[in-house]
Amino acid sequence: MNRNDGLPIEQFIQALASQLDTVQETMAVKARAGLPLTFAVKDLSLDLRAFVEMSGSAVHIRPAGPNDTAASTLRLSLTTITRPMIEENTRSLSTDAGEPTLKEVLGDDITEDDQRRLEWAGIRSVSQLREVQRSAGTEVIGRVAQLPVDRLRMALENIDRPRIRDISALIRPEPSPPELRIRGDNLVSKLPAQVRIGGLPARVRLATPTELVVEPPNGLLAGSLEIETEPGTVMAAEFDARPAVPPLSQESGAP
Amino acid sequence: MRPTLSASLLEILGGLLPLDGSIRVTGLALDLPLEVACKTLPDGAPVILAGPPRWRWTTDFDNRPGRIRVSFAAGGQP
Repeated sequence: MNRNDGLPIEQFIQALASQLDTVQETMAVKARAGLPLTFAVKDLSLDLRAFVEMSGSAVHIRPAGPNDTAASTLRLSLTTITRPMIEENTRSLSTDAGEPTLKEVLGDDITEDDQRRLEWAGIRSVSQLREVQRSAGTEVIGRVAQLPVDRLRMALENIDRPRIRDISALIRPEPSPPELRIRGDNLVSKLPAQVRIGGLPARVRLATPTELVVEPPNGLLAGSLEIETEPGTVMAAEFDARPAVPPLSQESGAP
Repeated sequence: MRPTLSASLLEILGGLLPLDGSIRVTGLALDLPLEVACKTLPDGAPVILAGPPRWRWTTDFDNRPGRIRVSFAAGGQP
């Protein structure tokens, strides 16, 4: 347990808000317990004597200790806001359900620092990155987020690559043949996707950007799978979607 | 040991508000010197420790306080 540690400024603000929430909750409990009047925090301003330090692209603040005469003074002002204001200000942080995070898609193409710089520019999700690229262009993103344009361009190309996230079997009562459900991203381009399982073409029953349902040749539920979304863009995966073999049931009445 | 910011605020608030309802307080504003420190709990969660200066006369071994201004409004149950 460290005392007087420096904290990233976001964590400091969150910790401050958490302390105010605790005050609010405690006052509410006291009111329920019979206190005639309750109070709510309206405004708070804190003059904090602290050192502001940069660690990579993260801003850390460390409250000044004894004899730290050269500390800065940070003035933080907080006020209460209503639920509509919260929703209005946090919509841009939300990602669509099932949407991969920037880190998942870009992987090692961007560092933690790069990701933080993109967040500073208000880009927290893949859809936001794509939207800003469409409207403003890669160079503008690079300039605002202070990222090398070449690296950003490579990362953006990676976003549009098809990806497989999950393959599962859809077993239907006979005589319906089994089907495979392939979940991922960018599974559909301008041309119909070509799917091969074990080198043999599979019939595509349903194709959306995030899901393909195919009828595997010869009922194959394991092996190698290839998806070609456009000429030259092939992704391959090994899979095994065979259902687990149920345990052998013992004959009833055996001693 | 320095208390958390919430504990300090609640203690000050509790000491100022009449419990018997003899006076109707409609709002409260505090403007206090405040010593602030941060602590990281074993689970990694940061906590802000803060309270009024512990000594009237500060020495070189004491923090130079910052300042907090906080206003409370009376109302129904939040």
